[in-house]
Amino acid sequence: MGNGADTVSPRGGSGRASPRVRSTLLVGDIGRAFVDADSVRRYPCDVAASLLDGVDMAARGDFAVVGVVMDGAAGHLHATLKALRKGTRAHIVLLAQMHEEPIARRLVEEGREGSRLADEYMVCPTFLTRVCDRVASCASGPASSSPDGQAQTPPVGTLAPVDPTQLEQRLRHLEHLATTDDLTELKNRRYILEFARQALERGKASRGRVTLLLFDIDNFKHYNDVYGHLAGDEILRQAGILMRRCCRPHDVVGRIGGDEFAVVFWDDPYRIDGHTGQDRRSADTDHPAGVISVAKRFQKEFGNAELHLLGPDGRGVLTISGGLASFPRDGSTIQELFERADMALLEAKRDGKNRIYLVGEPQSDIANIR
Amino acid sequence: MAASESHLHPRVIVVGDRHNGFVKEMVCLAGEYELAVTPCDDVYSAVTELARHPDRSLLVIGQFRQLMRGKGDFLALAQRHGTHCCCLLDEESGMERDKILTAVRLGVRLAGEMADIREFLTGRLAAEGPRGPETNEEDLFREELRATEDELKALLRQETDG
Repeated sequence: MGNGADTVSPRGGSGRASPRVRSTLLVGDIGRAFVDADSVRRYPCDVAASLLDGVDMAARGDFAVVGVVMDGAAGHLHATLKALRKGTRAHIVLLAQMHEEPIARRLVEEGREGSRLADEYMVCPTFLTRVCDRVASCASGPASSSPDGQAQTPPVGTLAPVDPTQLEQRLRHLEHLATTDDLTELKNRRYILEFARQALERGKASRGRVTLLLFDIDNFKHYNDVYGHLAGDEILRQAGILMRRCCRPHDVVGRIGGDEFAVVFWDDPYRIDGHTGQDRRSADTDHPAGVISVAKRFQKEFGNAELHLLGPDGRGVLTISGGLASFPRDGSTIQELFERADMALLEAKRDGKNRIYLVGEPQSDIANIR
Repeated sequence: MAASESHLHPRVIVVGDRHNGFVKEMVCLAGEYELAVTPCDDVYSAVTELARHPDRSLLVIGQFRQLMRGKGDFLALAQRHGTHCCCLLDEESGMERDKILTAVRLGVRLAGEMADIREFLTGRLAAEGPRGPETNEEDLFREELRATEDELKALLRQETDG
């Protein structure tokens, strides 16, 4: 990271931020966060290239919004956010790469109002204007409200002014639609592929591991045909809810089509409990032990799930088959991991279903792994 | 607030885990000198503390590894704000020659033992006496320069005489 010489200020040369009222401070490598980072000088914002400079400038200036680029901040993020909370009253926005979204969400959602380490997050790459526009909404609240709280209607024949808050809400809604499976509310195929790609890039750079689990519901067509599509939909929703519950907060679950699901497990680089974030290996295999135990727990819970739409005999009948592939052991690209996990899944089906096979270890059902 | 603080004794910022023996020891030591002390868990928290007292003389004390995290960014930042720092070296610090050089260049006082930290505090208190830190700092610097010049002159004279 840089030093004070790396700071830029479009309205006052470089270096120290003199106390100034209500603007934006961006902290970290903005080139990784914004599509239009090159035009930063056109925006009313200051930039601190290093986390320390960011904390310093935030505490000495009077910024309405502080945007923190998460990429490159692993290991220092919590300390930085705590210091920012202590030193400034600014609205803190985390700028997360897609694979960092689960961590960003946790930081925004955990804790009580006012004691959270961050106020909101945005998935990158995004545009500078999205962060800089937050100043207006943070400073004045909803822009379209009149003093008596009533929404103002623009006079006929005039263009309504763009309300940054509403615009932001619409953008978030569109983002949600583009990345979410509407039936299960899990991530969709597009998101999973991009997330896995980014997690793999990080894994390669930091010697971390990424594990992909592909699974589908055994005899799903039968339930659909016999009990109807409503019951089929309910089974898919339950599978999603249960898998989400069994996973660690930073793992990502998605529905990638029909009754097929994918889970991306990866080493959390932002852990603050002193661990490296790396999952230990199982005693019997090179695959991460934590992932195997999550998959086993899910198999068990899904098997015990009570589905009213299947009637009184619906309990304990549902099973899944799956395949599990790990980077770097089983492949070094997303395509390779998907192909190999898919082959293991097919093998599990051929061998009688209700099992999850590890790639590269024939007949290796995770039920037999300690 | 800040303007009225400049005449006060320096405030000591101790960087390190609060449960760490070193931090407790430093808090006691600052107490012996009747100095206000703020423990900070890490350098990020310390940066916030520096910003909270822009016009007050601040002294930062911490273990070498803690203060030299990264490439010495914290010490560089402290230097830019005119804050004096003192690092306690440990057995492993000797392996990090480049970092030690960086610290020296940044004007950091390196302490091998507690006695050195006491010396640092005593020295800073003497330097930042009743006339305020800025003037005294300048005087000290001039004095040092004069001494160095005198030494050089004496050496040159010896050589000429010889």
